[in-house]
Amino acid sequence: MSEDQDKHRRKLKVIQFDKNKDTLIETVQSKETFDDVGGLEDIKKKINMNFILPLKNPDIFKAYGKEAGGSMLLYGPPGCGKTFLAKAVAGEIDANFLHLELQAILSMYVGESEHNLHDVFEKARAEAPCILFIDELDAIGGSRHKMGQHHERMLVNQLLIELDGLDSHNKGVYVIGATNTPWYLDPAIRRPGRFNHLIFVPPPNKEERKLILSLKLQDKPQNSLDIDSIAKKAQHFSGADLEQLVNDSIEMVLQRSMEKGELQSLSNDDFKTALKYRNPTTLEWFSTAKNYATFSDVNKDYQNVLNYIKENGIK
Amino acid sequence: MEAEMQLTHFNRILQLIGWNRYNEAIKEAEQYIQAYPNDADGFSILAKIYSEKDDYNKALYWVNEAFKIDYENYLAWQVKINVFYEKEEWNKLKELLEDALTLYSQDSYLYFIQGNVLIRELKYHEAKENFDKALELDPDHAVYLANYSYLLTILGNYDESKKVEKQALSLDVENSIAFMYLSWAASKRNEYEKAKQYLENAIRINPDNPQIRKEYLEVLQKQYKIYQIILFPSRITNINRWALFFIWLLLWVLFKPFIILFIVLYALIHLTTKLIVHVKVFGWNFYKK
Repeated sequence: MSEDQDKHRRKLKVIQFDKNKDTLIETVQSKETFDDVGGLEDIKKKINMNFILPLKNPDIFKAYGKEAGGSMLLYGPPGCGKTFLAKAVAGEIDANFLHLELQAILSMYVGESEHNLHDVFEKARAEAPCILFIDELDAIGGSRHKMGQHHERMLVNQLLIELDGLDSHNKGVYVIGATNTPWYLDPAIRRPGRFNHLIFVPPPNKEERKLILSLKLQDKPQNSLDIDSIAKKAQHFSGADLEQLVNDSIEMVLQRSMEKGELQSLSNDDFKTALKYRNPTTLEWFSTAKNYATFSDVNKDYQNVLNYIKENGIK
Repeated sequence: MEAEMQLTHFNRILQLIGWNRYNEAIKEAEQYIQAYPNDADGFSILAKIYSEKDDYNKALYWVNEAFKIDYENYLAWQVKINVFYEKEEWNKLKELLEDALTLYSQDSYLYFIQGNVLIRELKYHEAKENFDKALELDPDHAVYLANYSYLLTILGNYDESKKVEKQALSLDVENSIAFMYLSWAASKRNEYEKAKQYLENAIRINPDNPQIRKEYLEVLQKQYKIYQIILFPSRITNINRWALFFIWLLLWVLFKPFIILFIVLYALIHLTTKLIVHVKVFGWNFYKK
């Protein structure tokens, strides 16, 4: 068996919060790597350069004064593959994956105080090498000024302490944060040594949309679908939006099949109708992002979002 | 134990609203209603979320559901009043405020809203009475104070207005709405530089508020001296509307060509300064919203 196949065959240990059991549970899932991520070539290159290569070749990077590891923050409109990307990074570096989601963070704030952020970091340290993926980072690391309540500030401070421990006892723990609303983050979180790599994950471009659509339409009965033209019309759609679009079309074809009593295949018209009723959810994000980037971005962190808006003619 | 669980559940909803995560909050609130169908607070919190999302019809629907269980549910009243304020249905709002004040005669928020309605109706002295009452009940509320400072400038009491301005700022320097009111007050006192600074703060804190964005662009426009000069007729606010109308009519009869020239100049300067500001802020992009 070649090394490549072997790499894919192995599994990834995934640790997640279970709301019903109210505790962290471990599962084993098949491993995803960068090869499984459709498109996003620029981002993969950037993550490779800043995050993965330094881990694989620490000596080379050290010669230039660059330390391995650290943490990075993915941001962008919802449904564009931030979680999937983080999981693929774990796959790339053969690390376990601890997924901290909104529900877990919520339970840290409200009531069940036994769930402590410190425990989560301890768990990640115990499972090293481990990617600690904090989804919806803004919930934990929201601006301390805007948080009126004392206990909310405590959690931001706790996060800062845990992140600062990254050099010493966080060996083998790599933190990836993701957020749809980076502008709500406490500025202290983005200081060097904490989340210093800010990576914008945009919606898929046309080629990427084609790839996503053809993956979703694999093995479905279809009649000479013009995926190229569908991808073109689905401008600014996120990955999640495209999935919805496919689901809508399938629903239509199912209904037709039921009415006619025989299997019908997906046609271009189905997609045409579905496209009429679905708008890209990313546009709302861009309009908010544009406001923050234009009026509130003192450090010019979101200049690339403005550039993206301009280049893609988002209104 | 049961009560504690219920409180935890309710706090989860509040937490999600605090994070502006309305969709997740709606799900959580729906689960709460399923678990505690006899608690009016569940319905009124769901109404509050919809009103935050500007979905006023759904907000009103859930307010009515809350009232079916408890007509005196305070949160439901607050949401209902807020919805009619946002919808700018003033007559309906006045009726509502009257009813609400019979139930909650010691609630500062109701007097504050009533004061605002009266400012809209240009009944400034009555508005002041309401603000005095609101501040008597809740003296450390930065937004009330900032709005009060604006009202005082309208009434010509600049010194007192500045005093209240300081008081508001000492209480909260992270509130975009308070900064907006203070900017109005400064603008009315012809302190354009200060007005600009306040709106700059407001827009940094909350650039997503369309009203703040619009006013910020306007205040940038007012930075141009030539625009300030041409705006002078709008500063005369203490004259009765009819008197103003007759003054214009008289001027028209007496100096017809000059008035036409003035109007043309005004339009020209207004449009050019607006264009300059747009280019300064957004560059040469002219997408329609």
